[in-house]
Amino acid sequence: MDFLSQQSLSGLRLCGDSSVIPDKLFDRYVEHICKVITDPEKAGQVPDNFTSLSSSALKQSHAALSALVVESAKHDVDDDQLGMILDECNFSTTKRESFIATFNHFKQDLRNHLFNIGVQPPHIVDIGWRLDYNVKTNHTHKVNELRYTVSLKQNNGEMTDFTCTREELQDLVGKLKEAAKAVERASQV
Amino acid sequence: MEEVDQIILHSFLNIGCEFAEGLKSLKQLTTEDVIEASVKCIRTINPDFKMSHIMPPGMSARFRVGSAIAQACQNVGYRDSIGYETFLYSSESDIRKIFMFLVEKLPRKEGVKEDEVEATSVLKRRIGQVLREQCGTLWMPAYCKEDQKSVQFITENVHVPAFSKKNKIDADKTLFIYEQISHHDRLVPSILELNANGLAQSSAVLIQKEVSGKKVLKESFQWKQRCLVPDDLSLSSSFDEVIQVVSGQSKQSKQSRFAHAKKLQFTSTEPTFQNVSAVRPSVPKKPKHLSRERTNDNATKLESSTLLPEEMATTREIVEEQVEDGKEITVETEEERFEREENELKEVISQADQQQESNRDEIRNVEAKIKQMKLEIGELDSTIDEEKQQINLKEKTVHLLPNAEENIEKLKALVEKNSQRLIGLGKLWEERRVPLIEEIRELKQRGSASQVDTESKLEEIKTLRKRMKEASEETKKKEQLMKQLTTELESMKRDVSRQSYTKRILEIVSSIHKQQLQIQRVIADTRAVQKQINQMRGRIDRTFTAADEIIFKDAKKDVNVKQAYKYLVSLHDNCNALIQTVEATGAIMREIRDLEDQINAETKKNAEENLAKIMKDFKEMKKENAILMKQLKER
Repeated sequence: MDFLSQQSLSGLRLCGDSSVIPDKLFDRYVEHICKVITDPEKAGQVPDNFTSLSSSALKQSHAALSALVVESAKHDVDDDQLGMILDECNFSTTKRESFIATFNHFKQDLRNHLFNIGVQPPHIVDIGWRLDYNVKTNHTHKVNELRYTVSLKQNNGEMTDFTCTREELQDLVGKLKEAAKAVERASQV
Repeated sequence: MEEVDQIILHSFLNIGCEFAEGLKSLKQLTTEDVIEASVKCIRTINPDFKMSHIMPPGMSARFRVGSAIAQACQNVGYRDSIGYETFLYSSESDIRKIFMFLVEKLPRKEGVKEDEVEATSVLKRRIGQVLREQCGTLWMPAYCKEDQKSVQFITENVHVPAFSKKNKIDADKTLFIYEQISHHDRLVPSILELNANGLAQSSAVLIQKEVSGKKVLKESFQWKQRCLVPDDLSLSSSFDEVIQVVSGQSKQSKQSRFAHAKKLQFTSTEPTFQNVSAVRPSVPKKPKHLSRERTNDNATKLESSTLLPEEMATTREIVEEQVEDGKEITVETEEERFEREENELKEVISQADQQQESNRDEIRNVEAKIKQMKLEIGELDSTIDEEKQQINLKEKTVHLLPNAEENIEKLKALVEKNSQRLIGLGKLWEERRVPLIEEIRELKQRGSASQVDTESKLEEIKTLRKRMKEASEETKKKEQLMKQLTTELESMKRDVSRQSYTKRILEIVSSIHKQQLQIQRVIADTRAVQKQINQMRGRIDRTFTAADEIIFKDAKKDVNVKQAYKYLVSLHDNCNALIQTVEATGAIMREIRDLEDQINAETKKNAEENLAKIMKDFKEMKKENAILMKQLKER
């Protein structure tokens, strides 16, 4: 309702009009649209029965249905809201139910696909560490210090290296624990 | 009574009286507890009441405290008369009444805050839900997880043809949207962008219909700004602050700033309609001689006037370079020359404008004159036609003059024929006309009636549609409310005692109802009994008078009858005496019952204990007074 533009709504009304797109072919139409978005290789071409219909109407309704599918997956609308939108656009009950069924079938795939879109900072996937003991340097006679060398591997293949003392490492671990606790607190509303 | 006590003690716990934890009834409260509880209650009701809740040791101070609390209770609105004695020397029923009143007056803060907190709490709950789901899944090393490739949000320009039933030919050329995209990963972003553009355009149109391009841009930016995270969230703001700002955002919509466009999380490679106007194409610099030759449009005037300062700027740069070579005099003359030329051009332009205006005026005048001339020509033509007709007539009459009489008779016969034919045609016409007129009238009436019908039906349809929409909106709202409330109910703690309270209240109400029925039955019974008594009374009197009369008549003659009469009279008297004693015993029983009730009420008030206490306190006060007097005298 709020998240669809006027263009998409008019396209949906076209789609709901049975004279433009008949009820029987509607099922496969919706399936084709969902597959095109999630898995283009398996989708193939538009089913052949459709070429007999008016093609501009077909294309506009295709665009509108794709917009509806994508936006509904994005906002995670439940069946009732989806049914309300379709009623506003004068969809018959068979079309409505078949759309809701196909949509629910593909919903998780669509949401996974949407989840992958966007900026994702690199994650840490692996860590290697080494404990060194400095005995002497050319500046001072005795050093006798322990030092950790940590190298963090990210999921895009890059490595981040740093060295730190034991206290700094404990600091880091403490901060990580705080972050984990904050997430837990937020999850226990 | 227990439940009432429990409620009162529970509310004491809520306001902070710790003594009330283990207690079960108000009997167990000591005077100190009573004073502490009442002070805290009054303080929560009315924060201005400043008194410590600990009872002072001195008797006079205690007296003052008691009277102050009594005064405060009356200020809050307690109807009955109370004084210091109700708090210091309390009886159970009195303090029960007072505490019930105070507890009712305690402000209920809970209901008010809920509305404000609702939006943030709903958001927090959803976040918590999602986080819980994610925390519940097991950790898997990265190489075990599915391929999660991240796709960048890159869009491409997509075109959707508009459907019209007329042009079916052109649409075949446009492709489906998924065929218009070069790379599959860009399909979903392009769909999202198309939708968002449509929404932004429609919101811009709705807000203002002014056609100035800049204002439309601003409004669409405002809509976009509403969907974005605002500026005042710093990186170090806490989770709660973030949620408050995000959920409370609808109230604070700031003025949009162009800078926000850069913060859009989506980047688009194709320039959208906003960006196009923001990025102005650079105007190529025209040489001066071309600009001078241009005609007198306002646009070019602006352009030329804006060009000249640009040109001046560039020439100044050139000039500055030349200064380094050391040609200072040429600087001044060139500038002067440019200024002169600019002034000349401006004069030329203004002159040309004036000429243009004068030309236009002339053209208008000439056009007006042309119109006038055409009208005159038309009039002259019509007069010419009339004159021609008259000439023809006169020619014909001149021809006919030689055979004057014959022609006159012929003409008369013609005239008669024509008039007769006219009359005949007139009759025919009348015959046809009348039914047609009636048909017209009928059809008009039917049309107007049907129109009225259609109008009323249209109005009915409109009202019905409105009602349908309203009803559907209400159902949507109510369903949403219901969902919210059910989720809240599930997450809220269950107060078992509340249900039991309501059950008990209902039971009490039903028992009271039954009791009332019983009371009414008893009243009806007593009335019936009273009626019987009255009837009997009446019968006694009547029978006595009847028997009296009869026997008295006979008594004068017969001695036995006299004796019988005497017995009758004594019988009557004795029975009367019996009845009176029975009534007296009944009255005494009632008085006994009343007195017993009074005794119970008095004993409840603990009058003896309180009197003892009062005597003790009175003695203490006397002692304190004596001490104070001594102190005064010593000074």
